[in-house]
Amino acid sequence: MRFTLTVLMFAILFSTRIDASEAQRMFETANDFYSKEAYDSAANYYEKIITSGTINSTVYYNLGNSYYRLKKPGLARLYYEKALKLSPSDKDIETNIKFISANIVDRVPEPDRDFLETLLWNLHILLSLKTQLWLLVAFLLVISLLLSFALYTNRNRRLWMIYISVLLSLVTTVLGISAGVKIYDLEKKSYGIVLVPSLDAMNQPDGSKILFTAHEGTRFFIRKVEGDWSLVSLPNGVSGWIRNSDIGKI
Amino acid sequence: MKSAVKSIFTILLLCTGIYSQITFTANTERTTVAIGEQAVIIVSLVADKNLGTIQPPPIESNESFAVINAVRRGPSSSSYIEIINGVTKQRSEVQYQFIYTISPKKAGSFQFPSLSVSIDGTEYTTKAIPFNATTEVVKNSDVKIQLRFGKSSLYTGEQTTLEFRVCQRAQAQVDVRNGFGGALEKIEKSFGKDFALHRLFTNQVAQSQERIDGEIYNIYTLKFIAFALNSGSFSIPSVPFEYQELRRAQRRRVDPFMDDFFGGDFFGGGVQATPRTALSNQLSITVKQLPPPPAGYNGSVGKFTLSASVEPREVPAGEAATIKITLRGNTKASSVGEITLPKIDNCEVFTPEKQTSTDTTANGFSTRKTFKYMIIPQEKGTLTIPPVTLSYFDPESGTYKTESTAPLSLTVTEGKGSVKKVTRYMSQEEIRQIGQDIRFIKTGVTIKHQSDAPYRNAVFYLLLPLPFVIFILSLLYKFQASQRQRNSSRFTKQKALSTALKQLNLIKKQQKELPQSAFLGKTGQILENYISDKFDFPATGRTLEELKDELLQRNIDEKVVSEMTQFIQYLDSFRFGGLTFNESSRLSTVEKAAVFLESLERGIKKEKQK
Repeated sequence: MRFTLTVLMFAILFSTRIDASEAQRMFETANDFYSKEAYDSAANYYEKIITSGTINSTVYYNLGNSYYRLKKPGLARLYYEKALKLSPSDKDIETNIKFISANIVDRVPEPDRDFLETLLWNLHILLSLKTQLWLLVAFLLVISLLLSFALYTNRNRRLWMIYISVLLSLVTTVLGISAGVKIYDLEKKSYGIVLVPSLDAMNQPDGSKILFTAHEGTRFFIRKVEGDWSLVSLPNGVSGWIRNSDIGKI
Repeated sequence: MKSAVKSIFTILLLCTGIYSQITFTANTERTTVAIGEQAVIIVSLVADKNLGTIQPPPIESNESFAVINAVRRGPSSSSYIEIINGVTKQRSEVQYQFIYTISPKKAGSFQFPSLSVSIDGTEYTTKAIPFNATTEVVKNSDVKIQLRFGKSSLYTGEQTTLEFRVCQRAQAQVDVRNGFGGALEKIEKSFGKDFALHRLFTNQVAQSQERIDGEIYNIYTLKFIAFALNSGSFSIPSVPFEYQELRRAQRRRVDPFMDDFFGGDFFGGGVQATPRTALSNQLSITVKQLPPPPAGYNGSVGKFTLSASVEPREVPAGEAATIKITLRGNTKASSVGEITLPKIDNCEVFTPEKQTSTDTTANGFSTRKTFKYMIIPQEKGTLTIPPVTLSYFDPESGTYKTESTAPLSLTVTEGKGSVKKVTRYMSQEEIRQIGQDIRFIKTGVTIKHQSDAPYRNAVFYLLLPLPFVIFILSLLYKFQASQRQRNSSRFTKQKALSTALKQLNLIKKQQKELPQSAFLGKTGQILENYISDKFDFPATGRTLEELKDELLQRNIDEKVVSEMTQFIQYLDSFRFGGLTFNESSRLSTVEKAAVFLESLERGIKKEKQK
């Protein structure tokens, strides 16, 4: 039994390594194709990396570029948004999303942010969720060690340790709130991109009344999914039911 | 007499039995209905007793009409008293109503079929109702709908007004208030994609009164501005407007006695609203294409004015002045073209600051665009700013016109610092981005799998509680350590007497071998150790007086303290007084010490009990 388990573990480790190197090889090939303006082939290779189970923001970003060159703004934006989800502070991804948003048919104004909101937002997206979680664990560890030492040290040192712990606790709280918001967004909020040239949002699933028409590349907030239909909303509050097959979920 | 009364009573009862009956009738208010309109048929079943639950007789849609719905009302019961020739009779009725709403599908005659119900084995049938379905809505002089277009002929891009007027005859029993929402949608649909409609004064329905054909009408108006988007001849179909005709509900019973009082307006009565549709007039509109445009035409259609000014009128060379150009036009903002400032020699011109404002008036949109150019003249002299021109199409005259500003002159005085020589001036240009593209792909990156939900990582779940565990363990350890310390102090206190007595016994055994000074020193030491252990303060090194004060502060009986003082003095007399000890003195000293310690212990216990 123990032998079987050991063999299995080695097999898993070995296969993972092969996958990683294979993904790297496919990535280089895709980049070569892209440089030679063979965007179709490049997209094909980037897609292969993703279907092999490797999720990576750079692959998503490059795939988005390929689709943009193939004049598929919907798919391009979908993969940029997926890339941004993994690397929220990446300026290249952000710039390309802005560029593509400015060049799609629908102009959906995003809500304006004032100075404080912009500052908070930039702080919120400064670190990836993974980094935030590790920092959170590290800070909590340092705080617990400081407080533990403070129990056994003299009064003067104890005070310093408590001051530093309080300071670190504040930072940890902010980090924790930000990470919590991100986790909530990931778990509870869902967005989608229009992938077809134009779609009509109806008043109900299989409804007959068109509420609005949206075009390829427009981003929606998915409020509810019922069978083949999703209830979606735009930032300006306009809502309607659209077919799931017409949108790509970020 | 008695038999006569009985007979009359029997006849009355029989009469009541004979009178009991069931009526089953069907009625409608109008039998001429337009296709798409709705007609309401009320079927009444009146009985003199409650018949239980009766379902509406079923009726299916057919090729002539569609059944919109069938609703049951009731049963409702009523009773009343009749006095005829001095004879009083009480009667009661139970009424069932079945309301059918139908809508004709095609023009021509059709019948609403007779309906039947079976009650107590008897079949009751209504009469069939003949209907006439027309293609056109029956005109009602109470409500007139008018569609008024500002111009019957206009150019592409030209604006004109559109009014949708609902004229309700004053005092007419109709309600038009709820029809505007549906009308808005239908108006926009009628004008299709060839016209852009903008609602004027949104959320307002203008209200006025007018005399039409000698009668006073209340006019409700929806106002729009229409822009012709495509050229051609367009026929705008009639726009339907739905309103409600209000009628006082008919009482089912005609009673010459009761209706005088109860049948009139005394108790208000019921109002029945019947849906009606009125159609507006049709419109024929011709939209002409613009003639071939001249060079420099940028798409402006309407009437435009252009004005320009420069501030200040005099400026030193190298300092800024502002040229303000204002363009006004009777159209929407997106239909007002841009203007270009002609090249000005020896002058640096910056990108203009633009402001646009649009006003809405009863005649349409009016837009004002302001362009503010900051200029910096480079040489002393008079700077002439050439006229700014705008080419636009004037629909009134049907021609292209050009509006120009007057040339402006700016006096440029000598600037600060060095005087510029007459040389060819190379103005600086701001580097502007002229094209945009997506950023290039990322290369030279090592591809690693990134989890889209890193918080689901098992390592993270294992590590997260670790800091809390560490801190809790530290707290527990600290608590245990302090507990241990507290326990040892208590233990020492409890065992102080037995420890001291054991040590005295040991001295007692060793008294022969011990020199006098060592014997006395150890005895004194045992005493001090006892006090230290018992009272939790270091007794060694203190003077006798200090020791005395300390014990008195801890509420030890003065007598015991005095005995202790005497005993220590007794010991000191041997230690420092030069007196010698024999064996019996030593033994008695040890016993004295033991007795003293026991009395001290008892004293402490007594004090505690107090």
